[in-house]
Amino acid sequence: MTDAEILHAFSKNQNQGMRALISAFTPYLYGLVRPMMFSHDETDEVLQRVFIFAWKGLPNFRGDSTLKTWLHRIALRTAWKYIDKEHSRAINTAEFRPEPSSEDAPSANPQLILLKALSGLPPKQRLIFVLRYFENLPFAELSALTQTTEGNVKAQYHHARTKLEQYFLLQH
Amino acid sequence: MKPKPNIPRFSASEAMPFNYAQDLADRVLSRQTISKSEFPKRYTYLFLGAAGIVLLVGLFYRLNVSKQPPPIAEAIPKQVLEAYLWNEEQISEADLMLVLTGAEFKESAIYGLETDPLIF
Repeated sequence: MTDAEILHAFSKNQNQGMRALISAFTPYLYGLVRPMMFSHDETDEVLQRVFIFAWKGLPNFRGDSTLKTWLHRIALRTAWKYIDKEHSRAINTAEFRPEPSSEDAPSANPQLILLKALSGLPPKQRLIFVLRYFENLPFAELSALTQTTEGNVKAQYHHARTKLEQYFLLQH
Repeated sequence: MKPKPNIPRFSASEAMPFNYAQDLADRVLSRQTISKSEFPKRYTYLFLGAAGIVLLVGLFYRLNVSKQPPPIAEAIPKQVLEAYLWNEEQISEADLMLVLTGAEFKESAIYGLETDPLIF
């Protein structure tokens, strides 16, 4: 469905419009958010929040950008807030334990190996790496998103990349 | 030159559970519907609760005020007070309270003091 069709469906019936929006953009947003999170459940929670924000904001959507760009921005902010709040709280209260899952089991699936490698990074470093390496987000934007200096973002990215490169070198 | 390790790209189509978009849509819709329908209810309950508390506090205050004894100087007939003060062995504190709480006893109590102390 095109953006215009989704917006038209939303203006006629909000529930149907939302269903169309979620069906159209979930694969893209899942691919964006999942590498930043430690589990599928966390990703699911973030995506629910993203679409609820989108639902609230859609009546005021002016169409200055495409729906994909708009949702991309919402997802980045939501994922960052989630990591900043939930993971910081968990780390501060020593609750932080990446859940053991099938991703921990040795596997030949490159996706699971990648997720396992990423889970070895601290949450904020992980987010910075994913957005820079996979999404090619400029450092300036990452700096604005994480509210840290550009130098700090670059250093975090460098550390994350070095760790992952070592991990994948050992795999081969 | 260092060999560049191959960090694979993440593929949502491989990692995403089957039919996930449909499940997510169901959850988002139910979550949003609940939050929409709960919004007015929550405020109604809050308002009713606050009104109930105000009513109860008002009622309690009102009952408490109406139960306040009248100023002692007005409530105790002079003769009874004197009888109590000067003749403690014949009129006890409990008897005095009985006089204070039963207006109809006031007069008889006063005269009873003089005629028949057994009235108390």
